[in-house]
Amino acid sequence: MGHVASLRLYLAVFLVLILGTALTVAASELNLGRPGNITLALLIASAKASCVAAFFMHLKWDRGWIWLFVLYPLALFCVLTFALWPDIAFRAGDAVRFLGGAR
Amino acid sequence: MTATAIPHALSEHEQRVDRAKLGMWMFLGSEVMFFTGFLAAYIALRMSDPAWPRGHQVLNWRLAAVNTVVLITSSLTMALAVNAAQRNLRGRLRGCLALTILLAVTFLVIKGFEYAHKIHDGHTPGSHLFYGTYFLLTGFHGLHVLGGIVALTLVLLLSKRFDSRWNAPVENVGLYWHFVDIVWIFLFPTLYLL
Repeated sequence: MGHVASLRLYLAVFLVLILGTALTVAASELNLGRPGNITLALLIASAKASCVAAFFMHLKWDRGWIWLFVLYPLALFCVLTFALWPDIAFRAGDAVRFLGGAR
Repeated sequence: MTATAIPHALSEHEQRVDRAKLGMWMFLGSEVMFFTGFLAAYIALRMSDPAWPRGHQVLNWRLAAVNTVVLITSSLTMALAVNAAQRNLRGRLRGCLALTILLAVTFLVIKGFEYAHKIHDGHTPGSHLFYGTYFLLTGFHGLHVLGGIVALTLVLLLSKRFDSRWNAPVENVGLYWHFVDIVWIFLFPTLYLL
């Protein structure tokens, strides 16, 4: 009936998440170029989200069908966002022009 | 139950708990897609405008950083609430749930100040595409926080029914709450820092 984790583990995860938040802010001050900054920020956010999912949401101890409902939406998320890339790369500016110059 | 426990057929009660949890994960899967649509719109609009404002220059990232800490702390108190239910510690369960609700309300109050300031300065969802996506993403996230407060309050009111044998509502509201936290973990750098 659900995994019973130790309080010490929860506190450790909490500290990692706070540290991750500080790291996110510090990383945004670095000048790595736009793609570099975006990649680093998303990497830190993914690590933090994984910590929340694995320990607070007990995914680390879950098996079976639950993983289908975790991985399937994540795969769809990737498909939907990456499917945008050709449009962004080759038709940049169209959306903004279509919406009336954005200002 | 440990990995070394002797396998046994699940009781009807255990199966029901498993199904409830599976249902919550299915719901969270649909929630991922709900936010994906808005996030995709944000990415497409941002990438097609070279003059897209930088979040840290136009938004109050310090306030958002405080809100990140508030929400992470509420995730901790939520995890502790589930843990307390599993250990039959009803007083601690109530305390942790109440703290989670208090932190959720704090998040919304801070968000409210942020919104009031933006609207006072003339930044509305219609003033610029940047603010359109900003209000869309943070607004729907805020509505999820509000829904979480309602659900958490219900669980708190029903807390005397939960013990180590049956605590599926506590566990499931916890899953939902951690999901809301995860959405914010991505929104914070995306909107406020980059």
